[in-house]
Amino acid sequence: MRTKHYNQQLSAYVDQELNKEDRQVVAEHLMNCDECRREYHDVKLGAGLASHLEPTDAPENVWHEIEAELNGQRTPRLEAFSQRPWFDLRQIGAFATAIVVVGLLSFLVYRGLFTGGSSGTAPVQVHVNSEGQQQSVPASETAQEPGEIATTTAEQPVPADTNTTPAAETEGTFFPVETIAGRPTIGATAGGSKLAVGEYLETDAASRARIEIADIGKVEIAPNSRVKLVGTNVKQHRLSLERGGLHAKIAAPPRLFIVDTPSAAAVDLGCEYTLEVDKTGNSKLTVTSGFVALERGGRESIVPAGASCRTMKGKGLGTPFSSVVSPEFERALRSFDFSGGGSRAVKEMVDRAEYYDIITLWHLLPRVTRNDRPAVYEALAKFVAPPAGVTREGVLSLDNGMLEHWRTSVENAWARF
Amino acid sequence: MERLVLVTENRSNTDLLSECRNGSREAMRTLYLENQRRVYSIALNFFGGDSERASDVTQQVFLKLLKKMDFRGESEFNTWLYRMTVNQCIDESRKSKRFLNFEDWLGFAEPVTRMSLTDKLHTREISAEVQAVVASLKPKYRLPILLKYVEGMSYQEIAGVLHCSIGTVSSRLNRGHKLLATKLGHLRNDI
Repeated sequence: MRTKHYNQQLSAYVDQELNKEDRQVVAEHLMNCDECRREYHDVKLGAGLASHLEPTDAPENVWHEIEAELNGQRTPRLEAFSQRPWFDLRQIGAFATAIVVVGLLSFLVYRGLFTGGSSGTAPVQVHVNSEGQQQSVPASETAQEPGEIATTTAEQPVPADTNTTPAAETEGTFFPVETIAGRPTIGATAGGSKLAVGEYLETDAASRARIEIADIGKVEIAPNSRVKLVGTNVKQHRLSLERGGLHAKIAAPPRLFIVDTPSAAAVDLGCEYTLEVDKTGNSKLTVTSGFVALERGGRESIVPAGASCRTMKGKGLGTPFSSVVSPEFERALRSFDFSGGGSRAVKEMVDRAEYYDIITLWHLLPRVTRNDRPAVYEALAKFVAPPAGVTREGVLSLDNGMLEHWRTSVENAWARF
Repeated sequence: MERLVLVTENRSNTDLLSECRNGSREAMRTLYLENQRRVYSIALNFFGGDSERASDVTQQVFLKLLKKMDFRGESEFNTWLYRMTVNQCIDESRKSKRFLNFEDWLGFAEPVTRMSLTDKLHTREISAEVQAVVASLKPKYRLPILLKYVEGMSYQEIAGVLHCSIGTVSSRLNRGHKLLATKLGHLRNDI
């Protein structure tokens, strides 16, 4: 079945010219269509550039000249206009050059030095279109997603500073390991099939492996990764991803499966997700179904399907963001989360916020300063109206009940994507 | 308690036009002052910042309005004014082509400058670069951009000025935006 695209409506979408229903349809389509999303980012960039055009007052003398003309006097401007030469010196020079070039070409054609044209005409054609303009065909620009994972430097496993309680290491238990590609090593053994508590599973650039997590799911380990089985018991199964990446697919009650990284703990809330840790210990979580909580130091980010979240070693937990976030919005968010971007970054996000940034906006409410909070509130309320019982004052004063109530509405709106 | 009331004279364009027809020079000046910015801004951006040509266009539009009294009330005044401005810009553009600009023809004209990022210390410089590139677009893409982003008009209002459908406005803006993104992609991180 052919997919209906909305690329002709992107400008109207960016310029807020669509009604609410159409806007919703386009927003939902953008969540799922890479092609339209690429175009959307171009159109949005174009609109952002065009908004730099500025209105300007006419110079004072224009009115004086109009007035003189109204009085029946010939104005300097019209005098100048009527005396405008057909060619100035540069143009005469250019014209002379053209004559010489055309003459030379004609001579060469006559002498048969050019043989390419079957009609016998000179192969040089000068075409000036009706507008005298040169138009270039736009090349689609793809937004570069940051977050490459470098996996070359070995580091010691550093359990995340989290309020989740690590399971006691349980001796004598293990997870079955299946080799998908290459020769993963477990401890000092290449090609092992059991990962015992306390042991490391390592993959090189050509290796991949799959770990069976008790009877609740599987975790696929990407190339160039190092993973430790921290512990496993009936209350909790816990891995530590020191570097590299893993993809987890878990069907279990919330908080039964946890992965530590050097900068946070990913707590499964019944989901499927990808977790990457770079050589500096920074991580990026991308959730494809369900929810994952990233936790560190008593702080928590709930990341739903379709969203990602970064953590930075030594700087803490980032704010979740949509997987289709614009590069500009994400840049401002990273500045806010990790570089002290403060009010400026908040303003940037508020100005650029789209429907799919609602998860970010909700998480920002308690994280921004009191002065910046009203702007974040307004930006979120524009997309998801606060439900009955949730007041502006309550949210601005961080009433926990109201925030949670609104969060349910935000998550429901998010889920409709 | 005595209350001081400041009364601001706020005559509509229709009132002013009526007074202009009766020869009131004061009304003409007021009408000009109220509307010159929108005419000049469109023209200035249409011609990539060429203030001479923008002044020419502004003068011609207001002479048609105030001397020839071309406005007959068959459309909204603002729509008429924008339409006149657009037509005058296109006429001026064609007129200059009749002067056989061989510099353009042979490619001697100065290319659109690409300032280095380190030189962009002020947003005005970005504006100038955007203005130059917008002026290089075909009028059918250029005009909707100017009416939308310089004048802040809605798609419906733009369609009224340009005598086309809202869908056409939308698709031309779509194309215009993408052309800007292509030609000015290097400013992606500056805006």
